[in-house]
Amino acid sequence: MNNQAPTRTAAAWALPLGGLVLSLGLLGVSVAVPQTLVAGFFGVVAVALAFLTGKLTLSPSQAAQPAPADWAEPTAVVQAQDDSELRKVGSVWVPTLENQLNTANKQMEQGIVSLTEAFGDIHSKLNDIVKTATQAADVLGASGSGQGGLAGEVSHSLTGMLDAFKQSLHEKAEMFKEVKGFISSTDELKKMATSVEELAAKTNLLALNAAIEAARAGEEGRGFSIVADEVRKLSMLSAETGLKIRERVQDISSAARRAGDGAVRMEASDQHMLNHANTTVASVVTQFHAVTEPLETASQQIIHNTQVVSSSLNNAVVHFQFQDRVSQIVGHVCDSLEHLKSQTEEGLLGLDVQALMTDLEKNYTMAEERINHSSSHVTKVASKAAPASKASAHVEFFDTAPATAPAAKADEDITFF
Amino acid sequence: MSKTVLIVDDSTSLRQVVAMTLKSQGFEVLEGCDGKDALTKLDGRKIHLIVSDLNMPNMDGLTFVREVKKNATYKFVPIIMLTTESDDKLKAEGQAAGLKAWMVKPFKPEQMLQAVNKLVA
Repeated sequence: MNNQAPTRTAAAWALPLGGLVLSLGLLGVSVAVPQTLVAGFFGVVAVALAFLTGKLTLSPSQAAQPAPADWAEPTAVVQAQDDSELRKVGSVWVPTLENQLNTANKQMEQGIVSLTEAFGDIHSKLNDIVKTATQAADVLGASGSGQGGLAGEVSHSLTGMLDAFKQSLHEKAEMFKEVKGFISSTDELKKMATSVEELAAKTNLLALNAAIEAARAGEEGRGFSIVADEVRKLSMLSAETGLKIRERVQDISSAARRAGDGAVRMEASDQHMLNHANTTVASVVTQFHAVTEPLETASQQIIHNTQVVSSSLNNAVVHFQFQDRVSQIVGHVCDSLEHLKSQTEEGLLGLDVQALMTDLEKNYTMAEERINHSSSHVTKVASKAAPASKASAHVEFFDTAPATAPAAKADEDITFF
Repeated sequence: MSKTVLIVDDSTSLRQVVAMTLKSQGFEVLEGCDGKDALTKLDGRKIHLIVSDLNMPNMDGLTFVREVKKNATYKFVPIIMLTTESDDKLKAEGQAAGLKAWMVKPFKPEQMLQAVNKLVA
């Protein structure tokens, strides 16, 4: 209740009330809402407030001019008309503005919630794509583990198989050396068998001579003749055995030579096969690289681009925080309009702009609101929300120290207490 | 095992933005639309951190913080106040009530994650 200006007229209230209305209008206009419809609502409200400001504000020349004689009415009548109009402002105009603001606020919130849900869904799906592409890149060789990925694995496996093949060929070559050594041994065996035959022939000749000498000795040489005869039989048996050995060794030697010849041919074939395998493996690995490298590059590109898009999307969604701020500003404007409405119920005498401003200021939570409030007499609007990147003490941490402990900044964005 | 964060804010869109930021880093998220609603979420389940708004209908953020500190199960859960308010007197009240941090909206995602990771570590 204002009790300090009981004789004021509407013109006398015009300037301060106009300032308040302009302030509310600026708050409405300052809302940066991307939706045309919602912006339209705020625009209508701002225009209405500006219109009321114009209606209530008299220019200095108008105020200075004396009223024409036919306009002259008793002060009580003018007061009554002003009160009636002012009550209509409270009962009709203010509720209409409140309805428009509330509708705009609800529509904006619904829109932002839907957008955030949709963006969140896209963000989630992009993260799934990054996971899948990362797994693919890991398999293809982008894991950074130094294993070379799938192409490296294939190369490693094929090289291992080639190594096993080479080892097998090496063992086969060792066996062929043994066969060659065996062929060489059979030649010596043949010589030994021949020596046995020659020894048997000489022994036989020696036994024959012994038998002749025994016969010449007569009856005394009879015993010696029997021994010489037995030696001759043994030498003949040795000669037969030597012959058999030589024939057998000949058979073995022939077989060994055939095996040796086969081994030589096989060695040449194996070397050819090994060379072919080496060339084939190198070609396969090269072709595999030619396929996997572009895939790997593509996977990396997908990961990078998706992460960039995801990050941009995340940042975009974070900007939706403006809805909370706008909602609060609109709420404070509506509260003040409600206060104005209650004042108008008592007519002009009930108006108390100072009380309206004080009450409005109590509700502020944001720096922009306070800037608008302090500059409401000039056409300057804090149109931008405090940026999320604002450096000064955006986050403050409280430790277990007493609440009066002084703050100590850790870096530009975070302050520890 | 992922950590669980309770987000308390009367603005659905703000809860969504905070939830999206935290979920992208593997946090589980619970939501309460005001202090009173959030108290019903304190039903014995493990909660590692609470992010709460200050001005909310039914029960404001400071009252909610004081109620949490009375709860034997949850009194040691760190709480971040996330609000458009930056008044030093309110911050002092919040610190006295047991808040671990005060963050002014609008927040930056990396800032939020840095604070959350610091307090749940």
